[in-house]
Amino acid sequence: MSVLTKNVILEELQKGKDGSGLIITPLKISQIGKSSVDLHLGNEFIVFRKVSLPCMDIADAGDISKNVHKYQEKVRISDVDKFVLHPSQLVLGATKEYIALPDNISAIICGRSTWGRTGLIIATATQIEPLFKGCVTLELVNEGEIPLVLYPFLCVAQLILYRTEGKLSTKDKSRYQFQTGPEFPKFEKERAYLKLRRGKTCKR
Amino acid sequence: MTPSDLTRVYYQIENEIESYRNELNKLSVPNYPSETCRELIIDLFEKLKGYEETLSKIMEDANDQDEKIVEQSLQKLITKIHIPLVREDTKFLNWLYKAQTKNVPWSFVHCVERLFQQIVPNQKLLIYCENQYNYGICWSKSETIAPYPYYVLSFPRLHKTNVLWHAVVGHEIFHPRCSEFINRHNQNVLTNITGEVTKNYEKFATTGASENSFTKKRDRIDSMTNVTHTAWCRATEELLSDMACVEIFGPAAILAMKAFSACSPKNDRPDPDNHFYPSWQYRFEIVWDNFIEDKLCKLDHVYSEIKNNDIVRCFKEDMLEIKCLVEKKEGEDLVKKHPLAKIAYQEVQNLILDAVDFVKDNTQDVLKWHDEKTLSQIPKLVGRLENGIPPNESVAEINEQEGIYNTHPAAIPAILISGWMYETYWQEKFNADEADERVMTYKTLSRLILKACEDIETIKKSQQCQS
Repeated sequence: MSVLTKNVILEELQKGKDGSGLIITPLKISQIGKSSVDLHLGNEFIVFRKVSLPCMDIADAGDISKNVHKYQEKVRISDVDKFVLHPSQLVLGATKEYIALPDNISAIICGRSTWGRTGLIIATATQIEPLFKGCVTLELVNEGEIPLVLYPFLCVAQLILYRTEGKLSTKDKSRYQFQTGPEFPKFEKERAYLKLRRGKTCKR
Repeated sequence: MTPSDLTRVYYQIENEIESYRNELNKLSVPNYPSETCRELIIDLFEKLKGYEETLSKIMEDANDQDEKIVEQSLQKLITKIHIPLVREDTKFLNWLYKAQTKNVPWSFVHCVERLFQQIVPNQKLLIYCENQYNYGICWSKSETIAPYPYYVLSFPRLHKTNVLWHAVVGHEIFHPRCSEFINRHNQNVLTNITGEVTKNYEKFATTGASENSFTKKRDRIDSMTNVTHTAWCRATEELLSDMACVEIFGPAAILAMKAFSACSPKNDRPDPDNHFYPSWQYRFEIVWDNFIEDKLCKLDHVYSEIKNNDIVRCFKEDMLEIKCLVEKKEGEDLVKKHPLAKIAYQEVQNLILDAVDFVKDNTQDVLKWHDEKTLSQIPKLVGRLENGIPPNESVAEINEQEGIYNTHPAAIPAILISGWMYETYWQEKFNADEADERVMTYKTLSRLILKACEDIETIKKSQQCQS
């Protein structure tokens, strides 16, 4: 695994210019660091409606998916508005940048130490697989003790790109393709697993 | 009329003002996609202050037992505060509620506001979604609440994110400009219509003894002239707006109009029942003949640059279909079927070249579909869409040695045309049972285009900051 440096990132962006390779858009040259790309917070958030969600049980994931608006709300704030993240609160956000990875590049998204020091965690599922296309959903948690004010366009994350080895099938696609903001969770794989487990239990 | 009646109305109006203020306070909390709504809320608070001052003044003046003064004061309360507040100002509460970010295609709002500013400068536009299957714009002097009127543009709620259709907003935002053209030609047209109606009166008049009297005949001619004149105004306004829309968005406008009208009859003849509204068929004929046909060859270079030949083929087929439709000239024949429509639409035809010039003059500041800058972006944007990337920018130069990364934000007509090009291809793929996961869904396509509309504002702002 080799991390891509600034020159190589630009080379890959040049190759992907027509839309078929590495894309990070919109992008300014100043966002590209020595071996990473700064990413900004977008304008959309998903917040949980605690009063109508008793608990999150993937066994009921079918109901949750169908009634997702009952449990979660999409909030969009304008460029000048604030979003206050309270201690221990989890909200979903997304990067402003839309990212497309070719089949030989994978990425890791990580927080910036400046924000880490305030207690802001930006992502727990940090791996982005090759062929991913979309804005990256950020799981924003305030682990500190005081409320944090977030604004769109804050530079909260970094993308570290690295080359992968071996061939990938084009069918190996993420279930969160083409998202342009934070996405409600999908539990298909987990439900399939649960079905399998239940099947086994019955056989016993 | 007693002083107690006045007091009762005073308390009622005071309560109405208070309730209105409460509603405005509630509407101050949610997010709006642009500053226009916040500015409107401030203007409405100012207006309430004005009402309160008027209320105090009227009540001070009415501090009298004289019945006449009490009566006059009551009338003032009703006409100066109650009626404008409950009839006009409450409309804004409804519009503001429906203009909240969550209720509108927020990514597209800035683009529409920018376009509106170029066509109707120094005015404000409020954008909201209405629970009806139509786009619309309204304004009136009575709705003036600031030194300027607020124009109010509505999108069909169920098609909020159906961004390809939104090319038709080009039609709506040109409506406010049409009165200038109509006023310019009004007198001549009215004279011509009166002459034609009088000349053909015998043909139109139904037989009947009472009709023969001179007064009756004159009244009938006046009435028919009014109807015909209204028909001319209506047709002219609609067609001018169509022309402006097509002048700006070109094929994207035509395809959006076609898609929007797919559930309506194309060949409704203009008659009194539909207020002599031009048929879709006639509208297509007018815009195609005057704004598309001679410029379509400009797309040849675009076609040659697009890598996927299937996309070009599908798009060309769709354009050819429209060409065949308009060549039948059924719309032109339809307007001749009603005698008054025939006269009104003849006047429209007589002024068509003036109308074309008027539209071109009034869209000079707008980046149009046939401008070189727009056309050069289309192939790259189609390529992006094909790869599932928002068509938001065309990358001009990347130089890894010198660390250069230059891009141009995409033009809205280029985004919409590339979107429609991909849509025609998408239609074929889906209809041919070839749909597989490589072809994105229509929802995804709309989402990518909306993201592009949002991004171009970001790119423009960031480039402005840099410069």
